[in-house]
Amino acid sequence: MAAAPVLELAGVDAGYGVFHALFGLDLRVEPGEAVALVGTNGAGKTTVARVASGLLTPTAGTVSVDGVDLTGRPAQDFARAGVVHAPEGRSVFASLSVEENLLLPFRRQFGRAGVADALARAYELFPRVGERRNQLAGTLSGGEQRMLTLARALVLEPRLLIADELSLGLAPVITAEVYDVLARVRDAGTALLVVEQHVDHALALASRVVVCAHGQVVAGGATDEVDLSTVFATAGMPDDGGEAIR
Amino acid sequence: MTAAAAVQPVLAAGAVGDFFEYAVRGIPFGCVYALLAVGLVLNYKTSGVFNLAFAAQAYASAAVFYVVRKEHEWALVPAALLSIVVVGAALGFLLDYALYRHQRTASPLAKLVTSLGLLVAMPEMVKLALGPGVKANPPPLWTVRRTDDFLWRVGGSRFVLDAGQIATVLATVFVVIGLTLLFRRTALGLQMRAVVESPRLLRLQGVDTDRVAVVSWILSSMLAALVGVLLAPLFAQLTSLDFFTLLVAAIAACVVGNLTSISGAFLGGLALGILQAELAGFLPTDSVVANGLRPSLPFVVLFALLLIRQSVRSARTVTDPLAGVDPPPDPPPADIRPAWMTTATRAFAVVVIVAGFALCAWVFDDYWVGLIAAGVCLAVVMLSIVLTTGVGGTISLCQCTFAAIGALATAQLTQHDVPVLVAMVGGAAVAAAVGAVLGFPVIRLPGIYAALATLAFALFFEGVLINLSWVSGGDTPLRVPRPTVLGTSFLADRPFLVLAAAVFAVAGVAVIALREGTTGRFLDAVRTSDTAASSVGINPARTRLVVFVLGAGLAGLGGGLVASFSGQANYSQSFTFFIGLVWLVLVITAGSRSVQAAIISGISFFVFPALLDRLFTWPVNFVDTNPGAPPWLLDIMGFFKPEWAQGVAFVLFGLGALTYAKHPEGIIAAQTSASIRRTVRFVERRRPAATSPSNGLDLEAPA
Amino acid sequence: MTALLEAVGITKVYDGMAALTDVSIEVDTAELVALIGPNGAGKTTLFDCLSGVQRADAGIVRLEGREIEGLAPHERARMGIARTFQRIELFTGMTVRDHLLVADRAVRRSGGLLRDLTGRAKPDAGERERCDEVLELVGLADDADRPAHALSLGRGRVVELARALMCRPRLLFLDEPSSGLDRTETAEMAGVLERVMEQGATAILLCEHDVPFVERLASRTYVLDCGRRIAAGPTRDVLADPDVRAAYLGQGV
Repeated sequence: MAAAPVLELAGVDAGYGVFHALFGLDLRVEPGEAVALVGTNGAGKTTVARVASGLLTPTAGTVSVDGVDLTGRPAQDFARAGVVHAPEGRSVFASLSVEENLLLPFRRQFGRAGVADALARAYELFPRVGERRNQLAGTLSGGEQRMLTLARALVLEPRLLIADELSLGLAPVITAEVYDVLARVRDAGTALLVVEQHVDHALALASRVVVCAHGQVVAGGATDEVDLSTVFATAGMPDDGGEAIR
Repeated sequence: MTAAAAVQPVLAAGAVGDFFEYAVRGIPFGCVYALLAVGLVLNYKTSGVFNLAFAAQAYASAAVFYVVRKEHEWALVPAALLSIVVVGAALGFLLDYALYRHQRTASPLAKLVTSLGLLVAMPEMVKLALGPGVKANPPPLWTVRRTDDFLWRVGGSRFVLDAGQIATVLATVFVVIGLTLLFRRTALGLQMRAVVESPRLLRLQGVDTDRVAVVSWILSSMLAALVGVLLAPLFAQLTSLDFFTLLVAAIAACVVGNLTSISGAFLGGLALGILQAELAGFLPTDSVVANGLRPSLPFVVLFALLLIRQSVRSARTVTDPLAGVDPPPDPPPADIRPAWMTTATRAFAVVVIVAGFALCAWVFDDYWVGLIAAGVCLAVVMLSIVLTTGVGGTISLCQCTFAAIGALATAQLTQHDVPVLVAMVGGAAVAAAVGAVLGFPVIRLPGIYAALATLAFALFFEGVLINLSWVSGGDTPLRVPRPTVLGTSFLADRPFLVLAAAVFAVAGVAVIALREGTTGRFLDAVRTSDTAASSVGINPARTRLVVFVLGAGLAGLGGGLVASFSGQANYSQSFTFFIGLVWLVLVITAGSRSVQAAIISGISFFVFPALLDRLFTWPVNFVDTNPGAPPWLLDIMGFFKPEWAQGVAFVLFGLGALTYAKHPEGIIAAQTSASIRRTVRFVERRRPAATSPSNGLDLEAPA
Repeated sequence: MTALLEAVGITKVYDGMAALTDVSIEVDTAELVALIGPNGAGKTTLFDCLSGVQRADAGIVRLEGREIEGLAPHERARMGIARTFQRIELFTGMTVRDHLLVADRAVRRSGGLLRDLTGRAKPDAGERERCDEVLELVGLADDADRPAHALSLGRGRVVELARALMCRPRLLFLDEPSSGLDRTETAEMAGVLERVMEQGATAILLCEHDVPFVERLASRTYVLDCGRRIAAGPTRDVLADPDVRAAYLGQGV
């Protein structure tokens, strides 16, 4: 029997109050697979990430993790089941130190060698974060905060890591650094769902691309097989590798 | 027993020895401040609630302890366990489960309003449940055989520390060490600190935030219970107001620790107690300075700390990085109302006003007209809350004080034969001037600190200034006549009602003009962010100050009206800060930006308790006049007591504030929106061709 | 002739850590200058010092030769320095037109209590005309009467820009105007900025991470790293500089 998908969204409707963002969206992520979720602003990408991690409860449809229906359960159940979300923006606990940010998920800090190992692994992946372990997270630069957000997600040893708009507001050199880490995480066998505005990095990382438009999945396929220009045209995205700017 | 009374008269010794001796004497009382401050910090740090209702929680447990220990004569240990562990924990659980769980991501203002509502409602609920009788001489938690059991020899003088003081010191040390260890050394403590910043982010880390929050509420509530039972013997009789005054005095200690540091609060409390003892010892006992400064010290210190501490001014509210998950707020009623309905609403308003006057002129008897007239006078003060807090965005807890200043100034002016109406304007000007002096530093403080500074001012006024004869005009309240203008007499209630309504109407129109005009837009901009507003050339401080001063003036005008109507400027009857809190809670519940809310809450403040009084008197009259009724009916009727009325009114006023979390726009706006939607749906069903109004939202909204 | 904006030796220290060390920049009338650098290089701090939100610990800021150090942000705004924000800061509960009107009245100091109380709060002909002009320029005319918070992020950033333009700025600071925008929206933003530059009334200092965006718009570029200016010059030359490539672009580009 094939393993159940690590994450499955089936017929999901979701929104914020009277505002509807997703309309019957379907999405599967297989274990160990890296998926890039792309689309224009307002297509509902971030909402997909929020529904997938339990932050937002869908108004219709189901969300399953490893074949277990977790629809309507609080976000901590998703995290414990191995679906961990690194949200967009500066998602750190600003008044806690860097190390305290990383220690949060642990019930007992003492007598557990696992904690020290997890911290060491996080600092190995993000040496800059390690250098600032005693600094308040709120005083970090935007790039360091983003790294801390990722590090905090990774200490949970997720089976699926959802990374939302990683490159937002980051300098090119730091974006590259962050994506290098993601590649290592992928190679270690963690499934990835990467929500990204700047598609080049995401496509280089992912084995499969899913294109979102108007709250639905409109196209998708293996990154080395699908015709990207057709796919992007379907989603109303310019396919010019940044040419629109120049 | 007050702080000053806690300190024995001066002993003759060298100045250095005295200094040391006074310091030691100040420690027990410093621990009292420290305990309360630590409780507030614990609450604020773990839930973001600046829990002024901490005093009410302490009172509730102290009252339970009093009743079981004194009236039912329980043994000490079961009584203490029941009131501290059981009642404390249950209250904490209930507060989280029923209230704060649903406000976890609400603004600090919403949480403050909820705690104010509880502060108003809870003591009355306790009185209704445990009986209204005076609870004199609260029993101590720790009994001793003789008061001089504990002697302490330092530098040749003998100190008598009574058992209560020793218990306080020990409890403080225990609590401070325990909480410091909890926050520094345990994962739960770490999660408690994190949950207040963003519960959603913490859930993404696999932490059950509901469990963390309920534990912290139970913990803080048990601390409140301990504080209540421990400190109750300080007072000659048990009242929630004494606890609250003491709590506000302890706020200065919280500010030392930036509201979040346990050790800061502890040291601040200790320093405050010692400073007070030093002042008591070194200042000549009968000087004006000593009599004024001693009781007011905590408020002076609080005010000074707020003004000079850089960390206070640069404090930024931590925003939830995941706030975007919340649905957008409902648009205001005006945005969803079709044009034809606006006309209909205005016509309806005219009908209501005309009908109101007609009822007062011909239907209601003098009793009710008097209450309504008092309510309309008060509504002018309520309008100042709308202007300052709703439109201006400054949480002011001292509008009652401005009203008092207006009333007292009006009274003083009329003593010098100034015509009453002119005196009222003069009173408003005096209040506005005081508002300018107070507002200049206060409006520069970030939200919660501004609220605390105004609270400190209100208590400073109540504790110190009102006792000065040049402020209050002496022990008997000054008389204020009702006006007579150009031969028109406003001596009777009905003409006065017309006068008050006219004043309210003019002020109301002005408030609407400001709210809807450029001033209102500038204030909206400033409320969004000072930085953004100043980037387009708005001076945030000036904009806020102008509205704060106008609000103070308006409150002063209202105070003059109230005084003139009641015939005297009676501070303790009309303008105490606790009454002011009830006013604020009422207005914010009804709608902090709404002129209708001001008039409705003004009138209900007087009419609602009177209606309840009728309601609760009716069964008693029924029992008296129908002795032959069936016994079960008499039993039911006999259950109700007329003296419940005022208590029940305050409970309902206070609990009303709990709706604020769900409807920050106020009950009136929420109901208006709901009825507009209903009407529009109804009309659309009957007229399918009618164009549907825009709902103010759009599918392009960012996710 | 003196430069429009001249900042000399700006230094800012937080808790003993130097955020800016001796940074000097110049912006000439009606030119678009970019400011790039890795996160934490001090770009936003420099913006805050220039616009008056923070006070520099050392250094001089001059606008047209006049020293403006010590002036509050709103005073600088009235002198013709406007800005937008990295994390969008729109006023709550206002329509797009309200945003523009507020800026217009604040800068001209033509709103106030008296005007509200005498019932003249409605915009007059001149105000409407100035609003319409800017709305037309940035392409927001169709959205003028919609609540700004209901617009997409891309349109929201344009509203912020329009609000800043209502201050008739001689100098405009744009803090990452393309951040969070998708490619279509970024291209639109670039187009709007080009139209603003064509008018020739405004100089722009642009802080940005999107290199193609900078290449398209900026004639000159400054590079900050670790609070120091590490390069300055024509954009093309700066981006080709090996030090800049190492510090900012990384090996990926």
